[in-house]
Amino acid sequence: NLDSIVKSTAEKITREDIDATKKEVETQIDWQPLNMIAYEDQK
Amino acid sequence: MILQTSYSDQIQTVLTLIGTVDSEGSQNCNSLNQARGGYRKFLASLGQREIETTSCEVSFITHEDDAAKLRQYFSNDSLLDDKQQAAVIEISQDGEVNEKKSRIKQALQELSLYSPDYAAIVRTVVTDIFILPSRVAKGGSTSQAIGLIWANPKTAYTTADIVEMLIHEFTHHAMFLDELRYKHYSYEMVMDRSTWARSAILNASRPLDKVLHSIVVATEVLLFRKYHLGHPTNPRVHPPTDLMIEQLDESILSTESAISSNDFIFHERAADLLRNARQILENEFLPLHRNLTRNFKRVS
Repeated sequence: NLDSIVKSTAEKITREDIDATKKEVETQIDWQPLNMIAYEDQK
Repeated sequence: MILQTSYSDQIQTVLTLIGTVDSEGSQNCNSLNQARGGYRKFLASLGQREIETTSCEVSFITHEDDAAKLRQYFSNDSLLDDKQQAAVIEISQDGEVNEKKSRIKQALQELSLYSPDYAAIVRTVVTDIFILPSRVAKGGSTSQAIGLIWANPKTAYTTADIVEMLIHEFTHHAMFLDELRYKHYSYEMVMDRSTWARSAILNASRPLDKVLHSIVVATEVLLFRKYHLGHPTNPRVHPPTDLMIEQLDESILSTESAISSNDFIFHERAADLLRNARQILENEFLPLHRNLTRNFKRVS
């Protein structure tokens, strides 16, 4: 049940988790095309 | 990335990233649909591209002019673009665009039949799919536009091949999100060619960030085959399972060797993902490889 996983996971997220992630996102953004060449085209 | 970590892990990453723009919304989120709205607001906050924040469904961009605008995200000026991949997407009329869209929608539906939960997470992380032709590649993703996939499947592909394409691209985006949450690499070292390793899918010497992406993608596709799709006899998008396991084995070994002489190139999370792939290879894929090759010898 994905909704119950969302609910139980959300309840465990701490202010510290969010602050650390926010700092990381800001550092990286303020850190790449990955194109898929099919197996049959590599041969 | 779901099958090699967990649904909980994937959802935790999405919710924590949502928390960076709406901490209350993140901590009080009680459904996947609610998370989709928050996730789109998070993507909008990155300022990479316009995001439809009122919708929660995957959008298809097939009009040539609209798709051409999205192509710009796939150009680059980075040393890390070692395969010169910027110019692979053509700006020309694709006579098969409607059929390609129909096949992708069919594959998304098929994915839901194999695993409704997996498909629900894919439909959360991937917000938009645009279709343009190319003579070189069949799809792509970029960290410059998280949630956006470029797709160019052959209309003759089996639905299973297109399902694998979707899993492949989704996994790149799961990795981009994971990297935003936990730093993965020291990029100044990634660009040093002496640190490069062998990739699991293109089977070529490439920068370590792309190699780890290939290891995680190959692991996910192989796990999806093992649990849901089965092992194809004549796949067109990814190698047959026995060959893919061999290439994954070589790629993990090559990466372990590269990071053993460059301690700081992988941060803790990237090293954990590599160790996890090694464990899955040894516990699940190598025994599977022995069975597949034994059966092949018996048949031939």
